[in-house]
Amino acid sequence: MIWDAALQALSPYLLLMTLGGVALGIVWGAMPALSTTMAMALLIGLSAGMEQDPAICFLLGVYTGSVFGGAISAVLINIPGTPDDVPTMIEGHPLAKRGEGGQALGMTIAASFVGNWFGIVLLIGFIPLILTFALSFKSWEMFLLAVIGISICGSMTAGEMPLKGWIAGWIGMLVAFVGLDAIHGVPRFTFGRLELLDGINYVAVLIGLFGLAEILRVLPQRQPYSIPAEVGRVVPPFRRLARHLKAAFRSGLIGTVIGAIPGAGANVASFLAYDVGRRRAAPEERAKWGKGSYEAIVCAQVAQNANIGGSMLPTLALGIPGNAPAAAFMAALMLKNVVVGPTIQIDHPGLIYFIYTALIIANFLMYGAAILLIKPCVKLFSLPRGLLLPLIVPICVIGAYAVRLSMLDVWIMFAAGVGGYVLQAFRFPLAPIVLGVILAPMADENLRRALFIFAGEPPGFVFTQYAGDVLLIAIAAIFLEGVLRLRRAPRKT
Amino acid sequence: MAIDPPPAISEERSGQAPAVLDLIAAAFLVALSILVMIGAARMEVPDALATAPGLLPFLTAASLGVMALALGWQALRRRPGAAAHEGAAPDTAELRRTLMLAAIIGCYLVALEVLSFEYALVVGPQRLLVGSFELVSTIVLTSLLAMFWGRPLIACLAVSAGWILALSAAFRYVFRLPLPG
Repeated sequence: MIWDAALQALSPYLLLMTLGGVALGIVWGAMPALSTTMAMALLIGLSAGMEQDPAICFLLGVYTGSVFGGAISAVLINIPGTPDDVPTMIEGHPLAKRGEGGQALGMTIAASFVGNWFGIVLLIGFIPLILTFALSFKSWEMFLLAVIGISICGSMTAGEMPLKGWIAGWIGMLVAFVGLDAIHGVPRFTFGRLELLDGINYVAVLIGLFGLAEILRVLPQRQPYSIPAEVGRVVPPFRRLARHLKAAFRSGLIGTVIGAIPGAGANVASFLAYDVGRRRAAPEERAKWGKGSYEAIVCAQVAQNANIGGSMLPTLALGIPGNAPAAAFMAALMLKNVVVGPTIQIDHPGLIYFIYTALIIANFLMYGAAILLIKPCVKLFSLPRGLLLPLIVPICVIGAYAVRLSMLDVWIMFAAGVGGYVLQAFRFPLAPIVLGVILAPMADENLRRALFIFAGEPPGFVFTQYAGDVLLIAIAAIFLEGVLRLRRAPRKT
Repeated sequence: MAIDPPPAISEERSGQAPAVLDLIAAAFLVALSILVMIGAARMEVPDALATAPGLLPFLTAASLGVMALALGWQALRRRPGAAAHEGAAPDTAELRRTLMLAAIIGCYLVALEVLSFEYALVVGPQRLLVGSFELVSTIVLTSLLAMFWGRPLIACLAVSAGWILALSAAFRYVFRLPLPG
């Protein structure tokens, strides 16, 4: 059955559709402020007029392409396409400033390719095992996972002051509480404004914090920095790739498993792999982290892309989307009368193999298309900042508006941009705010569900959840390490 | 047992600020956390306390307040003015240009909110829509380019008109998405 699916997906028409999706996805993702979720959501409409197979190939191409495309703007102009690209931005942009933008992107492509493969292979080979592990995550564990995501991000992005990173993450959580409470429907911090009942959209916050704040910071400078237009070698040498194989393997495993946990998403995966990678790196490599490390890029990108395969697992097998783009893919399948879930193999025999094959083909095409697109992208983004950054302003406006067709989101983007500029002046990191906004609803709902389930149990009952215990230890380790770092900080001054 | 934490890495502009800035931030955050805690405590509780809508907002604000106090305490322990990292504050001229840029973008959004019109240009068989987004965006982008790119006005106008038309065509006709304004 798998060979039939492969032959079908390799037909010239479907190859063309996949390539079209990949190219569109890369260009979309490379535009600052346009995210993978937005691409998937908007292009469902475009795929609605297609037959089932071309629509699947096209959307998987868009998904794969846009996940990589987000890294292009992150590396070259310091504005990530998605929250998952923040670690790549932290490491890749210093390399681009040193004239190694081409190589950084080359490494990003190679890592994306490896990550995609990793996710697909694990998806095919270990479906029952990964699903068993992922489904042992219930409300309490999901709450702890959200806290881990925010804390790690805070710890990783604030240098010698992890406290500021955690504060930023907590601010993001407070922002996310605005709107109707998901369990009882009680309005929270809406100040009587009907527009706020729908809550604050994280895409608008992301665009404001990273897009507009960067424009406000860089454009008024007398001599804004520029990216050297010389690209140099793009495809990374095999020896350099081989040096990071261990990190790639570890990050791929993290990305796939996190992807398989419904709701966790690539943002948690990339930060977790980035954090674990930093702890496990050799001392000479570790010294480069935060200043432009190729190994760090490998960790973040492999995890982020392995997450695609991982997120398909609960989507297809259980009908529970692993993340927002996977939910959009599920919606596109529903438009074709394909109801995903445990009976997919009975209702649509062979479809699951077709999707795997299409994902593999999209991965190969992404690699080729990305290599071809790197040089033009570096040339484009090395334009003078005085020309390039004003052109991004209308994209930020459209990007914020497009999610819910609401001017309120545009104003939220503006407020986040100004707020981000002020927070940067006070030397707070911005990435944890976005993670806080994204993960707070998951933390809120799951904490309350868990407390409801635990009601009536003895106080020690909470420690009998083994996966939860592991996560509790992880949280304790993150905060302990942060406190140790914080205690060292004043001595430096 | 001594635990040796891995070396600190960070976003480009985060970390320790001058003590006075950290103190201001701490004071603001403590005030914010108190306000949020009051708001969360006043929220309706339809069911048990464990599922109260204000539970996590309250806990988050309380822990934010504790962290803000720790930040303030850290700042007080440092000598005043010590650890003022380079680039912590932009110079006055740069700050003025930033404020001007933010004001222009703010006016741009007000114009998009207030002005709402759309004209249809018939070009052969095609009806091309040109609305307030195209007009307002072209004007704002031309002025931004004139200020920060420093080329002749006609070049700025040509670039901005071309860019806005390309963007609006892509969103209106390919992605079938209404534009603001």
